[in-house]
Amino acid sequence: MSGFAAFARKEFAEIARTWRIWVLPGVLVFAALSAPALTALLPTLVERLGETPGFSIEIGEVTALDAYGEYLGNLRELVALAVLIAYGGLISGELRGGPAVLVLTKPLSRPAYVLAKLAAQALLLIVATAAATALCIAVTAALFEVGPVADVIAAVGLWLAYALWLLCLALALSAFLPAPAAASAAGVGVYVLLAVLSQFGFARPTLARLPTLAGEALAGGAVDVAWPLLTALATAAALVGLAVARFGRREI
Amino acid sequence: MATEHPIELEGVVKTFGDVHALDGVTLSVPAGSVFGFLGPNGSGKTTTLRLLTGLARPTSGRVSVLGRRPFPAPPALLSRIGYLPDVPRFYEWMTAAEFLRFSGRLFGLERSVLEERIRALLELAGLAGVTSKIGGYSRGMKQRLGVAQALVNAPDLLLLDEPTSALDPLGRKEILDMIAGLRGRATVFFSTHILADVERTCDTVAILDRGRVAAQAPIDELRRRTGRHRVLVGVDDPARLAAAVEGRAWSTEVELAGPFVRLTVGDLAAAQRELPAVVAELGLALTRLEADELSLEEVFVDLVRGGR
Repeated sequence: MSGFAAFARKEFAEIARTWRIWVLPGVLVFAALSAPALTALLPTLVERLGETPGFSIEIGEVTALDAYGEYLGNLRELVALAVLIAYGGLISGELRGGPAVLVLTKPLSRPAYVLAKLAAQALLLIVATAAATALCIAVTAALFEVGPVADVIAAVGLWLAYALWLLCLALALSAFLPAPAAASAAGVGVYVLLAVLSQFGFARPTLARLPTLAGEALAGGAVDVAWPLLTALATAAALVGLAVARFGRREI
Repeated sequence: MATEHPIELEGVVKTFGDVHALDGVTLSVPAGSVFGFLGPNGSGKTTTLRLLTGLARPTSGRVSVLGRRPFPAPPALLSRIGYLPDVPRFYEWMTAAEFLRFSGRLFGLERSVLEERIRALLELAGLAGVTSKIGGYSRGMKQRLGVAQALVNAPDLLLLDEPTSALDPLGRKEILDMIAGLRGRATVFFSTHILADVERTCDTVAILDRGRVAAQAPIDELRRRTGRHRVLVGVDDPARLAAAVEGRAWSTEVELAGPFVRLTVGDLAAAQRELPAVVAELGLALTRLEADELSLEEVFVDLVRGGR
C-alpha cells in the first residue's frame, strides 16, 4: 500500500492540529463528566421539583452504577450520533475543493488513502473513549464510590465495537455520497433502523444488539457477544471493502 | 524507462452526459520538450490533464503516459510525474515546508535529499523564511507553492495547468525561466491561455478547440502553416498607400499604425514585388519595408476562428 505511512502520519498531525482534536474527544469528555455530575445532582433536583404543589416524585438512593448507566446512555446516543455526523465527510470532504487532487496524483494508492483515514480516526476514537472512561470512573469514584469497574470496561468495550462499526459505515457512505451532509443523514438513518431492529428477537445475534448488550454487561449479567461481534466484524470489513472499491474507481 | 513520446493520446473522447469535453483528441508530446497546450476557456485543457494524471478515465480512445495507461494511476507511474492543478488546494493548517515534506514522504524520498530539495524549492518559490500557515497565503503564493510541490520528486514529466495565471510579472518570469531550464532534462506539458508565455517558453504547441486538436506543431512551423505573413510599410502618406493596396489579391488585411501601414498578406512574394511599384506610382517616399511573422496570438485566433 504505497504511501500509507506518510499519509497516516499526515492524518494524525491533522487530528492534533485542527478542530478534529476538539470535536469527538470533547463530546466524549462531556459525556464522561456530565454523567456522574448529573447523577449526583439528581436527588437535589428531584427534591426541588417536589416543592412544587401537587408534584411528587420519589427516587431511591443513587449509586455509582447509576452514574455509569448514564455515561453508557450518553455513549449510545450522543456520542454515536457525533461519530456519524463528524465522519460524514471523511472521504468526500477532501474531494470537494480539497487537497485530494494534489495528494492522489502522487504515489499514494487509493486503498492506502482510505485505510489511513480509517486507521487514524479509529485510533482517535479508541484513545478518546479510553481517556473519557477513565475520567468518568475517576469522577464517579470521587462523587460516589469506584463501583463495578470491570463491568464498566466490558460495557464500554462493547459500545466501542459498535462505534467502530459506525465509523466504518460513515467511511463507506462518505465514499459513495459526495455530500457530507447526505452521508451523515444516511448514517443516522441506519443507526435508527438498527435501534428498531434490536428490539426484535431475530436481530438478537446481530450487531444491532451490541448497544443493548453493553447495558446488560454493565448490569453484571452474562452476555453472549460472539455472534454480534462476528457480524459486526464481517459487515465492517464489507463496508471498508466497498469504500476501497468505490473510491478506487472513482473519477476525481 | 526512456520513452520517445512520454504523452500519447489517440482518438480520446471524454463525455459528461451529452457534453463532449474531448472529441477525438490525438496528441503526441516529444521527450524533453516544453510543450504548450493552448486553448480557449472550456476547450478541454483541464479535462486532458485529468486524464493524464489518472484522476479521470477516457470514455474511449487510448491515453499513454510514460508508456503506461494512467487510470487507475499506478504509484510507480505517479512517482515519475509532477502535477500542478489549475487551482491548487493544500492542507491549510500546514506551512509550505511541511507540505513539501509531506509530498516528499509520499514519494519515499530520503530525508537528507528531501530537506535539501525543500530548501531549494522554497527559495525558487520565494517562500524561504515564510513560517505562516498556508491558509493565510495569497493566491500567488499558493500558485508558487503549487509549482514547488510539483518539482519535489524531480519528475521526468511535469504537467502544469495554467501555472502562471495567478502570478505577478516577476513571479511569472521566474517560473517561466525555471520551466525553460528544464528543457532536455524533463518533459514539460504546460496548459495555458497566456500566449506570450507559450511563445517565450515552448518549442512545440497544440491548440485545442472545442475538444479537438486544431493544430500541433513547432511554433515556427505553425506560423508558416497559416499561409499568412505580416508586412510593415513606412511611407510619408500612409493613408493613401492603405487605400491603394486595399482589395489587392495578395492583401488580406490593411491597418494604419501611426506612420506605418501594417499589411497581412496571403502571398508574400507578390506583395514584396508589387508594393514598391505601388509606392512609386503614388509618388510616395518609402521609409521602411519589412516582412514580419504573425504572432502566436494571430495564429491561434486564425485556427480557432477557422474551425467555427
